[in-house]
Amino acid sequence: MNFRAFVLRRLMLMLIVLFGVVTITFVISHIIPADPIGAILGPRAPDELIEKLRHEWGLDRPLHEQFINYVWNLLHGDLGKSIRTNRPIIRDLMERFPDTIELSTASMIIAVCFGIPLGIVSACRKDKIPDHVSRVFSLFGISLPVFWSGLILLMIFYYRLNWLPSPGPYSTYLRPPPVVTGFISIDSLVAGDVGLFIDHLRHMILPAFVLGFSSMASIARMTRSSMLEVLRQDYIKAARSKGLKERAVVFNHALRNAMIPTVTIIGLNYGSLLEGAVLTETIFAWPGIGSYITGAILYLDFQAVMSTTLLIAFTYSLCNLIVDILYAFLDPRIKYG
Amino acid sequence: MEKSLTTNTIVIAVIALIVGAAIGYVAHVPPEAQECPDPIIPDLLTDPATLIFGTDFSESVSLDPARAYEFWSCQITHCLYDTLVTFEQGDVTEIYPELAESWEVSDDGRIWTFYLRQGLSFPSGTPVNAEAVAFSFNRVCKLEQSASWILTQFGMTDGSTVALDDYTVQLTLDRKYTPFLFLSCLAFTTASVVDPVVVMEHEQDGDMGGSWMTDHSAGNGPYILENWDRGTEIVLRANENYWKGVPSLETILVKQLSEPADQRMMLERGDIDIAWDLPADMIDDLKGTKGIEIIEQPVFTQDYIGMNIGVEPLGDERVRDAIRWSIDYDGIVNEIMKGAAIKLQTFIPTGMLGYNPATPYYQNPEKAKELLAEAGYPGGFDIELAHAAAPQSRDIAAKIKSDLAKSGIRVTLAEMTSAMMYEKYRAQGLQLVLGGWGADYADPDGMAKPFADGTIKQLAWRNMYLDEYATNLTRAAMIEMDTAKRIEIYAELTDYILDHGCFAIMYQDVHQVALKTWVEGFYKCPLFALENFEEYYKETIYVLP
Amino acid sequence: MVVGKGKSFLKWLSRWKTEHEAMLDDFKYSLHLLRRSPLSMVGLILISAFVLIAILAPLLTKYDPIEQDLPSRLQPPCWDNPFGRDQLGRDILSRVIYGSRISLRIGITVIAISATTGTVLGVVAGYLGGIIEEIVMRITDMFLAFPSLILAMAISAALGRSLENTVIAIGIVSWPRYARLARGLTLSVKEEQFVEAVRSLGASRKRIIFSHILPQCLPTIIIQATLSMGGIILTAAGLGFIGFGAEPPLPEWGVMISDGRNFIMREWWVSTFPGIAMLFNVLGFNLLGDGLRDVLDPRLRR
Repeated sequence: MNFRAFVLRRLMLMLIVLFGVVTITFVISHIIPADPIGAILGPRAPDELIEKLRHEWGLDRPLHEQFINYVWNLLHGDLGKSIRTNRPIIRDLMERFPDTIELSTASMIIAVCFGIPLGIVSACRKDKIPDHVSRVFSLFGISLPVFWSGLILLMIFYYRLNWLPSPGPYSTYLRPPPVVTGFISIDSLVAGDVGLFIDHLRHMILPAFVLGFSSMASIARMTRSSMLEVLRQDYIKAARSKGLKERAVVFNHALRNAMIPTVTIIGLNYGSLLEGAVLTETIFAWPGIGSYITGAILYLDFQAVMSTTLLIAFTYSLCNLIVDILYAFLDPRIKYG
Repeated sequence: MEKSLTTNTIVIAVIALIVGAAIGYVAHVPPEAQECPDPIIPDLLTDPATLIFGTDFSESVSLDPARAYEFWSCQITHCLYDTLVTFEQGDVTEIYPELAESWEVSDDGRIWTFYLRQGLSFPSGTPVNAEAVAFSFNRVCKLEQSASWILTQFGMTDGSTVALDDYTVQLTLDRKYTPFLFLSCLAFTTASVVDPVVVMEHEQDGDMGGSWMTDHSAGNGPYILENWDRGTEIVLRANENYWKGVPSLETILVKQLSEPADQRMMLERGDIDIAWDLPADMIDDLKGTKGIEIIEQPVFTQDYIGMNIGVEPLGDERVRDAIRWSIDYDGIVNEIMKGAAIKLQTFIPTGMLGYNPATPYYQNPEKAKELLAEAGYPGGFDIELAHAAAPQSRDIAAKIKSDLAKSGIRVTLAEMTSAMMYEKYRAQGLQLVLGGWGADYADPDGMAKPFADGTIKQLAWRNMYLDEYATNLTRAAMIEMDTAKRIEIYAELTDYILDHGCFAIMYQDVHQVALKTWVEGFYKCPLFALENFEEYYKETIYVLP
Repeated sequence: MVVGKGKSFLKWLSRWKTEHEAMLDDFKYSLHLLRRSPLSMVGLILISAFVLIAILAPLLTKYDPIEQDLPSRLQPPCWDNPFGRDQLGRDILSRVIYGSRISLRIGITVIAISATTGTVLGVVAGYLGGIIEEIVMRITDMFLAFPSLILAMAISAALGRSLENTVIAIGIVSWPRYARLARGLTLSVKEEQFVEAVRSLGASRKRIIFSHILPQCLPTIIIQATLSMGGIILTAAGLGFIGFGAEPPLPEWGVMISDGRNFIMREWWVSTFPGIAMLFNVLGFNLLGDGLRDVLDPRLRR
């Protein structure tokens, strides 16, 4: 099978998977014996109104009809309307997705900057103290509940020391930039407001750190194990016997090949960072899709839940696909298909 | 190949260095300095023209007066629009004119005529006249949304409001009602006057501008809605041409902060000026902190245990009484609520006409057991208590469970999301429920209907309670013109529901707001959503201690 | 007769030992390597400590974890209550101790359900191949495409808040990983010589799968299980934070941390002690899992 066929097949599979995701979410959202309209309107709203709105939103039609409607609209690019915000969901997502992407990207950068060096250190000093220390350190990242560590760090670095700023994407007294892309960092630069740009980056430090800390572990581990494997190869021994210094051996020869599996881990982790954002966004008042979908689930805003899940699953599958393609591309030993 | 590897490594190292340096630099850039100094933290400054609230307003759906029904939706809407009449300075016992200068009622009480203030106009230039009022009210009745019942309960429909001439408007009701009742409903945000030209300009598919009005304003109130960034903030800008005078605060920001811990930290650091949702323990902690002031105001919201008559054995009055004698009211109010509650057992709260201070019930397990034995349940019984997924509800529900256990009643706790709970409650499908109710207007009828009248599909009905005597009293009070007689009727009704109703009312909420001492003129209205933000301002000169 | 049965059992045991000598040697070597890895040992000690605490709970504390004592609410740590009391006056030390039972219960139940289901499905899919494999793998992909916390949240919201539902939700989220792992292993084991040999001898498919392929998958599955224990406990805590998870008044650590977050600035002990307990518990599993992975990784064995 050649490369193009490989990619096409993977794309088709992705579509099937996404359809499955939508179906599963639909099933889950609708087996609940609960009433989204009533929840949104609150306890004081009169019953007649609830019936009327339920009819307006088509929630009293049989399930399979609702499902077919939803899929039909999806195929036309219509993600539906949110019962809660009364706006097209795609507008809600366009406003909030960029914030989560920014946070995930920053977290990934931090995770990589810490994880790879830790992995290298571990590999080069295997079974010695530096190895143990760095392994424990990175494992700490996946042993702490994010909502707890986030609050404590916030308390220490913002409340007591005031080294880092308040929760939220920018300082309370600043105004957001005019929307061009939806990414505050990009939009503020486009608008020429460097102060806002830096303010935004400062606000991102703590949540990105908290979130990135959890990814650090798997990146460090993958770097470590692939480095170890590479270091045992013959061509490394050959390089050593040529008299090259250890540092040269590690950086010039081993690292490049060891990076291949690490790159795949980075790609996979990116997708899962979207999920970790759910808890972090609540603590740090970050207006991303994590907090959006939490609200949607609590209020049973079916359309929003399904569409947002679809978006997240799509991003995750896309990351996987890109990683797989890159991997097949980079490593000549892999057969396609 | 070696060379390119070295270059690669150098490139990676340089990028890592730059990223590290950037983080380091960025972490040391000081915040922008502003105007007012904080007394305790000298380098803490604030902008005297901007007021920043920190709260959780995620439940807000729309800022269209015809739709706004949640707390912050109404609060903001109140700042954007004017009404015919209003309350002042948080005092909800007296009605004052606002857009209407005077009014009169016909002899049969059904026709109300309002004479409007002249010479006012909306920011767009459209005059604020009788046509605007008629349009606004008819629109509310036509759109039939959550809050429409505030007007339609008087029999108003699309067409009941007519403009007789430019400044005279006439409303026709289905019968006579107590004046205070009707007027206090007209003071509520649903009866806001909107700009008919602007609203209809943005009409889509016959929604009468509803879609656009969700996040835009078209009123002549003290503030204009500049932006509503859902999930982040609401931005209000002062209306330069406000007829009562330009508000002192140029900008009001309401920031979305769902974590109370975040609100508290940001308040102390001066990043917000007012923290709205702090729980009782945090407020207690903040009392005495320099630079922070606590305002406490009993509000027209009360919490209760509802008992579904249709579920055995709650149908027996003695069993319900036994439950009332099992609850440790003092423990809940003093220990758990810690100053954020006032003990209340009748359904009209303090501050409202007809308040009944009787609190005869207290925790008496012996008496409760006696009553249960009389009713045929000497060994107690099993029952389920549904409650919301909030920390306070959880704690109180846990306490109730252990309280009732002392009388032999075995309670299973069922925590539910609001969605599930309302669904079941509206279907009369709960057993015991821990609920709350807030009045929409300052008249006791707003409390009587849900707690006493089982023919209306509100609280009493949801607990399958239908008592003719209570219903008749409620209806009588609604049309009684003599205030003294009304109070008598309510005294009778509250006592009746206290002993024979399907509720164990526990306490009235006290809303505690924490603010920076540099905020002045702040008051909290007992009725939600009637604070006049235009009356707040900030101290610009500060004397350091 | 008993003696006779005992003797034949011993005979069977020694025959089994010789048959599986290679596997046993391997196992002994693994244990040896494990003992030389200090991180794994620390992990093992931590886990054993928690298991012991869970078992001995009633002996370790005289307080009832559910009993309230409102007048002493939010009491700071003192001699009588070394971890202080929470917002309903319950003793935190006893809640932390009993909480270890709940965490272990959640972890073990979830793994039992998801690992068995996932592994069996994966092995069957991998061995049978064809359309069955395709279908099973696509379904696995669908579940894997979900961010696990969000899926768990949605399921918990659907089923209602209780410990059982939390286990079900996390179980549904976890099984795909095992399926995928098992299938991958099956694919590689399937081609090995000894499987060919057994097949040519006429062994039934069921026998091949369960007696030959499954045991080969076990080590990896065990590592995956140990590593995922920590994640399961953290996911349960995350659910508790949002408002799902174990129902109160059960002393689940995640719910305790979440309940204490409004007190974190003054009555810090309400959140901190369950947080530390959770940290060490999860860290223990992660350390052990990490060490196991090193030990059992064929590329890293000497």
